[in-house]
Amino acid sequence: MDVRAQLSMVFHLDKCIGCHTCSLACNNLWTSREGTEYMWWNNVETKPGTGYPTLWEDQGKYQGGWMLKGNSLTPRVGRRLGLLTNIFYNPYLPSLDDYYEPWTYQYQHLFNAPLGEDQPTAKPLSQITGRYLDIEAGPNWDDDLSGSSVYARNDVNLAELTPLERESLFRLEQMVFFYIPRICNHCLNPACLAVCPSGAIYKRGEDGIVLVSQEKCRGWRFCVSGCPYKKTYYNWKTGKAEKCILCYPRLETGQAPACFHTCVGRIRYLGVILYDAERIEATAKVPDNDLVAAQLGLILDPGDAAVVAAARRNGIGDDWIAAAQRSPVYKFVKEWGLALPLHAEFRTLPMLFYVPPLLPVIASMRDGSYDLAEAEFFGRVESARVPLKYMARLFSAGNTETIKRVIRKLLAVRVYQRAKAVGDIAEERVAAMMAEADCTAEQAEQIARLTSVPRFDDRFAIPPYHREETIEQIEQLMRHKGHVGFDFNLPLERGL
Amino acid sequence: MTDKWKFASRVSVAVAGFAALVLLLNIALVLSPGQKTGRLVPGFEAAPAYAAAPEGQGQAIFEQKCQACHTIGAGRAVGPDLKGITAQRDRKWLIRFIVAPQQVIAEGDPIATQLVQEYGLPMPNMGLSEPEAEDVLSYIESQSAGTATTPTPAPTPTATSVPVAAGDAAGIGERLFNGQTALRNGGAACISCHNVSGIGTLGGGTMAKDLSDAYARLGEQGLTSLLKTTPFPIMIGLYRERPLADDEIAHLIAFLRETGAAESKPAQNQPIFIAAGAGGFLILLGVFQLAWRRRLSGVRQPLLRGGAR
Repeated sequence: MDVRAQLSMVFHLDKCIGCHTCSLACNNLWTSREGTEYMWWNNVETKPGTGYPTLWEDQGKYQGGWMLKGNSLTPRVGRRLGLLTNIFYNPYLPSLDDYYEPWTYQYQHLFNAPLGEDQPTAKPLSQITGRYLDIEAGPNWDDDLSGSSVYARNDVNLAELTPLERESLFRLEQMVFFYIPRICNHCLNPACLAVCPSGAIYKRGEDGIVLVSQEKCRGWRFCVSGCPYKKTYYNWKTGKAEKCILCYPRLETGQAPACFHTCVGRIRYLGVILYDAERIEATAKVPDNDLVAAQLGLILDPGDAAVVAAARRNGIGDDWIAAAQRSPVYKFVKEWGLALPLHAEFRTLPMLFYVPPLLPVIASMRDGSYDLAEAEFFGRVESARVPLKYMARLFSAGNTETIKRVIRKLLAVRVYQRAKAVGDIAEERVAAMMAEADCTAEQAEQIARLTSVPRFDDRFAIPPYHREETIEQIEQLMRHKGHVGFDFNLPLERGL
Repeated sequence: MTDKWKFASRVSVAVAGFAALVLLLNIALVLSPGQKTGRLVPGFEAAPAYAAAPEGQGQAIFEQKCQACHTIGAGRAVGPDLKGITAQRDRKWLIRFIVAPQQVIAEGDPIATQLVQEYGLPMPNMGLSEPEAEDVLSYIESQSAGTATTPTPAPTPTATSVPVAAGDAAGIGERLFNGQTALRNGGAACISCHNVSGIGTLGGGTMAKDLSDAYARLGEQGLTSLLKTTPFPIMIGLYRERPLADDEIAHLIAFLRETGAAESKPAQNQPIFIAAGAGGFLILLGVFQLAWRRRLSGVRQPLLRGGAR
């Protein structure tokens, strides 16, 4: 057992209202520089939809992630020789159009416009060319418009639905959508890291955050192809790759990352998990159907004495083990089994887990009245408007049983709480659902509590880093004092 | 699709790279000064293995080694007429020049330089020792005195022995020159080392002198004796065992005469060469563009156009 610590995340999609506050907080903090205009380290997508960059899930186009060739795990974009032969022309990159052409507005015109008949307007200006721009795409284009004929209908995950299912999904009265906020998954088996020809990407030992060394990066952009989530970006100004850093400077000072901190729906949870690094390769080779179960199997019980002992042997401090023991992520993912990784079939073992949303049940218009297919208050799993196959494609590598179990439990907790608070559901019904979901009353209480009224410290179990003490032995701490800059730290120029 | 694509893209990139390389190489060759000077292989001094002439047999040496280019009293051939040369030049200089003409020329000797300019090609090292040179000079001296009554027999028979070229002699000669028709005795085709204007876009070899103006420079007689004896170091090695036949010589000369008359400028095909290279490159680019016309289309635009994924 090779126990290591990973700062892991849970996003509770039932609570996401798609406000993009997380994206803006991240943008204000990290990507408001020249060369990063088109980047959204954090973005929120509407599902069904093609996402940002367009069709990022379609690895036939982008060649991200890993594939299983016989018994060997190969980056889809190629092994070393394959990478070398394509190194001067990597054909598997999203174009700027696939992201979107970033723009600003000509605000000065509002003040400087000459006297005229009409109110002056601020026309959009491209941040790339500086010219006027007809806006026709954005990182959250078709937001809330799941019926859109272009973006929603081309969602890769719809592939397995029958034409009838697909058609009914987009009928106006059945239209349904939900949001997926996405950041870097800080994977256990990062494909971006594996395909980097410069060896610039690394996974931090203490917390598993995946980072790009701005000094080693040579801008080959294979990480952009390699990451199946398209969460590494190329900065055209510095000529280097950049990605979500999980706000490690904030973490190291005990604060939650900006997107977590600002989330108005409080959907985000952060905590340490302990995992067994020895089994990473074997786990990434498991067939699609068992992949999610195998990945969750990597995560170890921090309460287990053997695990704690092994963690100590590996140099994980007691305060980190304690943080792992009160980690909300461990509860959601392992204890309650409610959170699943996004697209586990890319085999990067992502460490960001999603609690899938409960969606409205099928309904139809009959004689001018809205007729629900289900008589029961929350309906049943099978009658959700979004077919299970679709959710399974997103969250359980196609295994519908896994996703059904999760949704059943979420429903049971809801019904339990409703029965308790309102009392309009029969006790036998509640008991039956709880039994079916394998959920105790005590657990349901805990889930409801951490879902609906968690405090700041419940959501974020940030371990103490002791970063200064750790690095002062190898780094000169005052080297960059008074310096500025994200990519290259330089002294601040002052005065005229 | 992807594997095939990957493979195709790699192969095409390799082909494109190769094509670009060939183009660059061609341009470099065309622009390099080496071709214009038409120098013999520098520093070639190896003495060909001749049957040693008996001591004092100046005549034998002359016939074997000098007669191809020189006459005694029968006028100018490839090289100057040597009649009375011993009276004209310092004997020591003569011996030195006969033994090692390349060195004398390389030293920038004024007489040698002037001779090279006048005759258009330097005298090759013939591998004669000083005593042999003495013998040859004695022979020339004796002949110079007697030529008034007995003309040198050497060049005249060679000139007359060549049969008169038939109607399409130049065409036959051209095929001989560029190797379409093999030389009967198995010698290498001229094009391997020599260029001549109008021989085709790619031209001939650049190892040896451009022969476009060979007829004008050397004349019928000079060319005939040259081709019969092939006295240059490299040509000795190539043709001594596989000499050119008399009719082949006549055809080649006819060809050289014709090209010499048609083209006064020997470097005529160079612009064509560059243009052909550039044209080929553009055609290749066009082919790649055609093969990869979808490479910049991205993912979103096809969706907007309503194309299925």
